[in-house]
Amino acid sequence: MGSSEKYKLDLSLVKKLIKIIESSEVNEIELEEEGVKIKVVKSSKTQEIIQAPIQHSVQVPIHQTIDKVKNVSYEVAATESNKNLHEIKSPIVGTFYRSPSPDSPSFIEVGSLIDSGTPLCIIEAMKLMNEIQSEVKGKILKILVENGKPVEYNQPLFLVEV
Amino acid sequence: MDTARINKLLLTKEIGRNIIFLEETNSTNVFAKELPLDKTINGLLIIAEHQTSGIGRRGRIWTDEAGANILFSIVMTNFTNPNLIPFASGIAVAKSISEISVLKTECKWPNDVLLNNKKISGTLIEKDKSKLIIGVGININQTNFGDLNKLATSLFIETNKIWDRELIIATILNYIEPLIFIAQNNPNQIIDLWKKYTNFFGKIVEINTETGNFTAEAIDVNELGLLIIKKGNTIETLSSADVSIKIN
Repeated sequence: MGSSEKYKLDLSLVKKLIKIIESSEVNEIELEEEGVKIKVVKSSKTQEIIQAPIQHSVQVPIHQTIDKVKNVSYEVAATESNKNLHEIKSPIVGTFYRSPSPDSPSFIEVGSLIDSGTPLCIIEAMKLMNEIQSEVKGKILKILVENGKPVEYNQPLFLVEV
Repeated sequence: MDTARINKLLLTKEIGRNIIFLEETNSTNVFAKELPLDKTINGLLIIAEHQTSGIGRRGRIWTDEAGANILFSIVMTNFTNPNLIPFASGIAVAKSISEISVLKTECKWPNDVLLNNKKISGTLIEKDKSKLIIGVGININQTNFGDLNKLATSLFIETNKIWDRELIIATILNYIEPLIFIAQNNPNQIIDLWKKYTNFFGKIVEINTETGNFTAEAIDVNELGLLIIKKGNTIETLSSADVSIKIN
């Protein structure tokens, strides 16, 4: 069968494609030749950046770049998720607290039923305690940030089933 | 406390034009939070002679001698971009105290005011969708802080004189109103003004956050109000922490 010969040919083509994709801004190349389809996809560097510990602490210019990258990934997450799910995001850069003070109970837990206006958490920045309220009615499915951790602008905080 | 006298000394348009005076309350911020919105007007001032459970950052206790200090909350229902208002409050207190007492005050990030390296004032701001509550405590005529004597001071302790609290309140409010406007409309200007009241930069500071404590060098404050620190060889920014200057 001629298929093994074709297979060799394809492998060298794949190598070439990998080289091209590595040295370019392109993330994906798809090629179809004589009924054989080759698709080379660059592994997402975006993902690596996001999985690195979310250091709140970055110099300003870098900070802004990272914010942009993160926004991209958040959008992806939202599109992948069910349409009945709603993400509540941080309106500011700050520190996330689940309770009004360390001794008091959390505003909400996983499974809590919430309404529009229900207080969910506090984000502190410069000793300004911002009480974040829900903008939707629903049920808390996930709490996406740990108490006391820094959060970035637009970072998802809660996943709500609406 | 003579609230009519405060009113006479005011030059403000809205802040302090309506005053609720309380001999005693749990906390002026809590009182302000619980006040129904239809009974709240922009600039409303809540003053107390004594707080039974005064609060600081993250549940810290703020104690006071009844009738000796300044304890108030300004309630704002009309605000646009309040993130830098903590700096407006720090500047207003530092400037008023230093003008009236002729002592050198200093701001510590983000909004504490120090006198001889000890805390004389702190601000805690709380915000929800409809209200911004600026809670300010200033140690004026208190004679003793007990266990906190090494960390806290008052104008009386520093000068051995009783000070006019109404004059100090009115002066702070007269400064804070335009500074709040600047904080919401011109971020660089408010940060530059605040920097004139600090010699914090270049100092080694102890930083306590909810997730850990460490030592770093305070470098600067950026236009978002975040503290820039140098920790080892890395530069980082902080949005919230208790920061104290390390005294060897």
